[in-house]
Parts: sequence; C-alpha cells; structure tokens
Amino acid sequence: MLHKRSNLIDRRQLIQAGAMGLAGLVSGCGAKYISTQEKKRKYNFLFIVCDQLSIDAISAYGNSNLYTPNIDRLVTGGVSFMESYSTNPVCSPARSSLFTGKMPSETGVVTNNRAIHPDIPDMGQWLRQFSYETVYCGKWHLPLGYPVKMRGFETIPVGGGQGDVVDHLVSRQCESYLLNRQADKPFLLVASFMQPHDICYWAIHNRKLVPKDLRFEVIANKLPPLPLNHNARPVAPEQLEKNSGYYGFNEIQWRYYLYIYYRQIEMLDAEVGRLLDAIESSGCADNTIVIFTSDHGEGAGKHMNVQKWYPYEEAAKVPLIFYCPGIVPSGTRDYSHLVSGLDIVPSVCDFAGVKSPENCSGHSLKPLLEGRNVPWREFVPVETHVIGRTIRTADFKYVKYKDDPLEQLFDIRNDPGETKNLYQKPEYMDIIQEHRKILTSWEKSLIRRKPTKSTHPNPPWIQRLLEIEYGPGAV
Amino acid sequence: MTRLQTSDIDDHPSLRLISKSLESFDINKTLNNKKCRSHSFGVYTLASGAAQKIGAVKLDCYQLPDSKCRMSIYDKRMTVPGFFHEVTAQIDYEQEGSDSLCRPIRWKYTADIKNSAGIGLKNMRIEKNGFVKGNKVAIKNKKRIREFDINGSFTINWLLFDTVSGLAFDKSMRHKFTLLDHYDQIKEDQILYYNKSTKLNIAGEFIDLHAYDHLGNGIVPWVYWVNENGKLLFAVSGIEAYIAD
Repeated sequence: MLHKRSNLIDRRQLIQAGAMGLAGLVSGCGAKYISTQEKKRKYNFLFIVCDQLSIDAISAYGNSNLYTPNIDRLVTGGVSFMESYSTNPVCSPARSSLFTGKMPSETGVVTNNRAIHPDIPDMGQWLRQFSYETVYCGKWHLPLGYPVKMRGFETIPVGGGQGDVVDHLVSRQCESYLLNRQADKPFLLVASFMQPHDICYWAIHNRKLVPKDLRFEVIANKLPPLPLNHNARPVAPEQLEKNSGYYGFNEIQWRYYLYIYYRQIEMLDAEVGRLLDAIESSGCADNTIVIFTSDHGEGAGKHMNVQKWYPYEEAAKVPLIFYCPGIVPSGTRDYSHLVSGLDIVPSVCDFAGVKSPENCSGHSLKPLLEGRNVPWREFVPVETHVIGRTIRTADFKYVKYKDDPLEQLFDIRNDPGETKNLYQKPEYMDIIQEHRKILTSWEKSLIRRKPTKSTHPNPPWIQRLLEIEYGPGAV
Repeated sequence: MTRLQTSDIDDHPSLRLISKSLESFDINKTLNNKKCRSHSFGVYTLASGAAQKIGAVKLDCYQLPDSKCRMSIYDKRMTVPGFFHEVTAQIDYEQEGSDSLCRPIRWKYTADIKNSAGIGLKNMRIEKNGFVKGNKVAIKNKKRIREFDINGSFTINWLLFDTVSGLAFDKSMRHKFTLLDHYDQIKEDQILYYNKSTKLNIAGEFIDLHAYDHLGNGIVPWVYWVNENGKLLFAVSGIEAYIAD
C-alpha cells in the first residue's frame, strides 16, 4: 500500500540505507531526457535564490492569475523539478542547506538569524578552492541580511529595505558584474532576491495594508479565486496549529492578499528577466548554468494560512529549475524524483567537476539532468519549528512533532491539498509505522549539531522548542 | 472643485503606514520649492513599525527648445553600511496631449555602487540607454540591444511623478499604458486614474489632498497624493514610500 509505483524498492532496504545517510536507492523513475554531451570547459553558475515563492505561482506551470514571462523562459528552456522541497520552510534554516548541502539541524541554523557552524564550508568557500570566482549579491540572512563581508564570497554591497526597494539594485549590479567581468576564471554568481517575501508585511500590517473592503474597484474582477483547499484545516499537532500563519481574513482580504502576492512575484520576474538578458549579453550563456529556486513557499490562503514555517506543501514545496540551453534539456518537468535544497551543492560540484564537501547529505541532480537512470532517494525530509519532522515519500507525507502524540499522514497523490489527516485511520496504520521507521532511521543518520547563537533574542515559544530539542539553556 | 470632507489619516491605507513620518512633515517647506517642476523625495521602507528612510530622489524637469521636455534624475539609496547606490539618469519626453501621460523619446542612465567617500567600486558601473521608435522600444547595454513592441500609451515610472501634477481631478479619465520600470523593465496592462479627494490633518495643518491610483502587472498598487496645485506630496506602493522634502 505504501508504494503505488512499481519502480520503488523494498522498505527494509530503505531503512537500512537510511542509517547510512540519504544514500540513493531507487532507480531513476523513467526519466526521458535528451542526452547531453559533456563539455570539457568549466561551467559558470548563476544561482538565483528568491524568497517565499510557491511552486504553483508561475504562469508556465498553469497559474493564470499572474504572468511571469521570464521565469517561464527558465521553465520552457530548462528542467523543472516538480517534487522539490525546502529542508525547512523558513529563511535562514533553508538557506543554510542551500549553501552547504546539509540539514538545518546539522548546520546549526534551526531558526532565523543564525550563522552556519564555522567548520562547515559554504558553497562559495568550497568552489573557491577550485579556482572559481564566487560572488554574492542580495539577501543572505546567515545571520546578517546583507553582510558586507562573507567567508565564501566576494560581496556586491547592495541591501537595505525589502524587495520592492532592493531587488532591482541586486539584479542591476549582478548585470554590471556579468557585463564588466574579465573572463579568466569560471564564476559562481548568487543573485538573492527578497521578493515575494514582501507579502509577509501584508500579513504583519494586515489592518493597514489589507482593509476589509476592496479600495481599488478596477481590480474587482482581477482578484484571484480562493485556493481549493482554503477552508481545509486538518487536525494538526498543537505547535503546528498555533504557528501556522492563520490570520482570519475575510474573502475579499484573502483575494486581495493573493493579488498583491502575485504582483510581487511579477516584480521578481522582471529582475529574473534582467539577469537572463545580462547572461545573454555577457557572451557566456552557452556555459552558464542557471539554477533557480526559493528558500520556501508561501501559505497563499491554503489551509487559511499565510507565510511559512509549517510543512504543508504550499510552504515546503519550492520551485527548482536548471537552465542552460544546449547543456540542460529544455521544457522538461520531472515529477518522478523527490529532490531537496540539499541537492544544490552536490549538483554544482558535480557540474564543476569537483568533489562535494564531506558529509554533504544531498545528491547531485546532474545524472537526472542528463537523463541517466540512477538510483535515487525514496524520501525527502523537512524540518519545522525546531521539533517538527516531515518525511515525504512517493505517495505520502508524514509529520511528527516531538512534544505531541498527534501525527499527520496525507495521501499526497490523491489528496495533494492535504485536506484529510489519515493518521487515525486503521487502514493506514502500517504506512504510519513504516514512516515512523524511516524518520527514526533518518534522524540517526544526521550529524546533529547544537544550534549556533541567534543574533536576535528568541521569542518564548521558540525558546521552549529549543529546550525541548536541545535541553535547558539552549540558545 | 471637489468639495472636500475632512477625514482621518487612518481612513486611507496608503497613508496609514507613513503616518508616523508625516508627524514631522513640513508642508510649507515643501511648497516653498519655487521650481514647480522640481521634485525631491525621501525614500522610505515601511517594513518595520516606523518608516525608515533609505534614500532620496530628485527629479528636475526642463523645457527643451522643440516643445519637448527633459527630466534629470538623481537617485541615491543607502545599501549596506559604508556604501550607497547612485543612479543618474535623463529622460527626454513629450506630452501625449492635454491631461495625458508623458511619452519618453529617449533616456539614459548610469548606476554605480560607491563607498562612503563617494568612490565608485570597480566594475560595478552600468550604463544603459533606450529610445522609442514608432511602436518599438529599444534598450541598449554596452554589448547588446533589445527591442520590445508596445501598443498605445507608454511611459516611465519617474515621469508619472511629474505627470500626476498636471492631471485633472476627473474620475472619468482612465489612462491605460505600458510602463517602463527601472529604465529597462517593460510592464504591460497599467492603469492610472483619479480616485478621490480628501482634507487631512497632517502635522497640524489641514491639507487638501487628491489621490491617483496606479495599478497593473508587475507593480504593487501605487497611490499618488497631490495637493490642490498638483504638487506630488506622497507616493506610496505597499511598503515603499516617497515623501516630498
């Protein structure tokens, strides 16, 4: 019952392998990509990180409530991983994984405003060893939002304010880097945008920014509809329920909130367009791999939630696109492989022709991008709220919070909106048991570290969670 | 003239977030600016409780000999400590007609990141220019030219800051256009219209204010607040705001 797809392997093998880390196990799930010829020259990388972009908020994926022609260029010209998960759907933890290939409980960044443990190399430090020029522009948040100096990257000093006032400076200065650089070394350029994270302030300032009635009559017929699972509030662990981003808007407020969120994504899209044009102008388009992702998604009214933190699909699932015409196949969407923010570092290293950092938990996506049938993982983990753990397998999502006997199980294939928590259904007991074993085994495989120090005082609810997970005195 | 009703600043979502900044707003200083086609604004971000000033923008408009106009722009934003981002730009434009938008003819801009001593960082300068020819917009960087088709009215975001000064307080006027944002980003399906007038107590003075709304693809709705003479006092788009100096 656990597996509905014939190419998945025996659970016992999975659990054994889980103890060895996130080793790949399962064959490549029938990928039908065009073979590509490896070129000998070094690839450049443009890594575009955005903030709070839901995977379904891209027009090329069928969302008609917004228009994202530039992200659509990536979709139609590259490979989209449609089962891609944030390691922890909140900014700093997710970013720590994107730049190390390790889970937040391994990097020490279990909540916002923490640094990666100094002995864990970030992607910039790592590639620099192999003669890469590594340059960073935009939001970092590990722990500083916009640091002047970084250990792994030369920084382009742009920052201050939110996406609406900063992102166009980020794309502009990345453009200047691409157009002015002296081409001797290969480069890794990170363009890290704030949008559509600005939507957080629509929730925080909801009385001021989201009035109860619509003030702009001209968009009355342009307001997006409520999501199908808007009213779904499945039974959830207390911690998840309390910190799920429920704001109790009325219908007009919700739909106006979505309208604004989509406009902010269009703002992001314009910046992406500037970067893609700059790559084309720079003369290095044919050997620059563009990687596009988000640290986490956004509630966007699903389950009546806004923002992130929680493991529902809208927050945990993120876009992930690889784009390099001639090198990466075009217009391909991979629904077969469960991938993670953990996979960015090993993929970049693989394309760069260098080994991955030690104990990197992710897998290189290069074989999948080349259409090779390789063993692959059978689950991806997601951490939430310090003590929450989620295991997403091919057909199910299982959620467990350490301080709560209440669990969640969703049949993600048949109930993608996660409307029915099946954990108390007797017919799913064996599946719950299997997922519990996967979780236990996976947790044993982690090289857990104590959290690094937060630059901000922990609110009491986070402090309580830290003490549950790490004992009294955790900071 | 519209008969104005006194209302509270809290009745206007676009002004609520900047209300703290308006406590020290000096309307007389703003109006003492005799160059009526010169506009200076503080740039604010409104993400946290109080608006935080992050930069300044100065827009100066001049008449050119051939009935065309020129806007010079100086835009300085604080970035990370010790650095600022600076844009100098020039837009040549013409009025499309009375009570209408301004159509750019050609424009150019230079952007730099500078340190606190005012020295530009190496390899961080970018220069671009563009022009309109018929129904095409061309944008050039130092290596490439890109062309876009446009239909109907077309304008640049900064020109709107001046244009609203000359528009009527007429609810029947709907200006539909394509926007060039940040000098090189085409955003279609825009609309600008006069929405409402009100009398507000700002920093102890009652001011007649008139609001123009601007909505469209790729932008968070803007509200431009002008006074009785059309002087733009506040422009607010979500958590980004410009307050006249």
